Amino acid sequence: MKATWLVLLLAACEGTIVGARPVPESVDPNPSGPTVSHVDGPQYATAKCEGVGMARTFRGLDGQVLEAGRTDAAFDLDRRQTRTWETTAAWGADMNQKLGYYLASDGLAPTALVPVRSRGGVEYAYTSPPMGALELYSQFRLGFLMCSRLLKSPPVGQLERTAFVIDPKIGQPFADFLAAPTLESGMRRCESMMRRFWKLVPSAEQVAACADFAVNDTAAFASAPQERWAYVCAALLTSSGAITQ
Amino acid sequence: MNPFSRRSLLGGAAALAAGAALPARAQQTKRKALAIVFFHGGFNALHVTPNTLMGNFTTTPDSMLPTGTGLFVDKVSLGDLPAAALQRLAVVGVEHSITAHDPAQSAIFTGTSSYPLTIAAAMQSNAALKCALLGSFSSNVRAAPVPGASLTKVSDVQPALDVMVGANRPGEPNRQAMAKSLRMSWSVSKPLIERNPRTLSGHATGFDSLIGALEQPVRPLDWSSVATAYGLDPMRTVVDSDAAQFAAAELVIQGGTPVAIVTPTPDQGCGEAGWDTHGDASGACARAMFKRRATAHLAKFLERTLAMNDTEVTTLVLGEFGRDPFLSDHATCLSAAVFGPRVKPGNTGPAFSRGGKLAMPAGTPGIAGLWSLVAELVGVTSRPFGANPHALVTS
Repeated sequence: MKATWLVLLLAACEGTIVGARPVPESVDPNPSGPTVSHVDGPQYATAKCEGVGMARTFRGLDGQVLEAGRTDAAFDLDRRQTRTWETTAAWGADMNQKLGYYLASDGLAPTALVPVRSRGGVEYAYTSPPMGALELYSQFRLGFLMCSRLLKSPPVGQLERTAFVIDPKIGQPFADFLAAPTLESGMRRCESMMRRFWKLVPSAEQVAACADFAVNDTAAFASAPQERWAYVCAALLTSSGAITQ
Repeated sequence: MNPFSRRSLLGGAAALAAGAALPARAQQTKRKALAIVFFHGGFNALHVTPNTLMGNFTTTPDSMLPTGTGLFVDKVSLGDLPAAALQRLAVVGVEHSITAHDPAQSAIFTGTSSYPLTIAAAMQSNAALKCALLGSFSSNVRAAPVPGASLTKVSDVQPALDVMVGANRPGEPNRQAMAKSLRMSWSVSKPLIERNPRTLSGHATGFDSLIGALEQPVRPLDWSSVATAYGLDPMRTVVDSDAAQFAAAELVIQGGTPVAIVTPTPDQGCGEAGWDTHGDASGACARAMFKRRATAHLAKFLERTLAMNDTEVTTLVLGEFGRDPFLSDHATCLSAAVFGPRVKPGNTGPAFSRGGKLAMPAGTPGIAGLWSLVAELVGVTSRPFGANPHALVTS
């Protein structure tokens, strides 16, 4: 008896039982349409899934369509969550990992960030904790202090941590950071920081916006090259890619 | 050199003339703000409408104080409030038929969206903090951001002060530079925010609020004087006491925050349930704990906020429900209190006892009615919760 159930279960998982079969990806008659209607029967019209081509439909053993009546979320939306740092140390560890420098956050206390986990009234189980003005301010301020520290006194000799300021080939800071940003150096360093902080590949537009800021905007409020780069670095550390996971 | 030049004298005369005209003009241009004082567990109607509860909770003519506007308050709990505040008091009835804490707390703050956040957004303030929570909410209270406003927990005044008035200390980022930098940061964040419209909804509001605040002229704020007024050590900025909650609420309102929420903490005087004062049929425990924990801070807050020159502050005092006269159990209704310059004294929540249960007159509005009144008091004209059913606003 047990063996029979096991066979049935395996068969269902393999999709060899009629009704539990995976839907062929090529049968969607209207790829841009909002609903899946490629399985027979009117009841399937209620099963909305925007991930057409990736979705499967399943029937239970009694023929019931298991996903019928469900309201699916749009595909690939709302997968990113705001980071929560339960302690100063946790925040520091994250920042140090991003900056590749284990002393970058030393002595900096992100008071506005730490209580994220205990903030009242926010149902973070399904609503990401907000990153409001106070938290963004704190993150930028601390990011600026860390980036300034790093660019003024780069941690030479810690190549294994691959700090984004250090050229691993020469063990020295990248020459880009010792001079005022140019379009080329801005594009180069913006992209490298975005990749490091976000763990995502930035678009050309995002890199261009960052480089434009580095070259044209920072000159208006900072003169020293390291200070200009520190504003770029802090701005990227405060961007949504860096404070979410 | 003559220190009193002709130009300075003329300037002084012009300033005096302008000063004489100030009251009328200031009245027109005053900012609005809302303070919410919320008692987790319940807010006994005996505090604000003892005359209609006569004979219950040991209420007698001697236990209450006339406000001079036809209303009465309990002498012990609210008798020490400033006369100016009592003359700007109205009692608001709410009938919601919910007797359990969790759903009542949820319902009192959230309709289709958060009531306080919806009001904060509709007030269209350019402050960095749209809605500041100085105390704490239970997890029943939903505070999901709405477009234009999110809830910010302020557990330390210092970061809030930095945001509002700016640090600009040596080695720190410059405010204007930070604003420009954040514009770039927001710009490169947009694709991610658009891909995560629900989970990252607070980011756009946060960027928008912060950049707006940083681009404004800095307001002079003095935590030291505010803290001292509430009997606090001005060197401490952590919000870890009831006095600090009220003081921080005043500070953020001075800084332009449209909505501030205070949640006074109970003590063990009525048992472990705090403001959930079961068994307190005499009302003695609720009176005494209110007096111990809230009266002095509330009195100071009302005294100072009603005297503000540039801001009209409306203060709403409530819990999730009132208490039944029989053994002080959970009621299905609530008599909330609202204080403010635009409040027209009156009582639409004359709670009474019906067979030991707290009751309201037939037709008493629900929760949305309360927030409709509050929205009107703070100048929101868009009626986000429908028409205001309470005739408690001065014309």
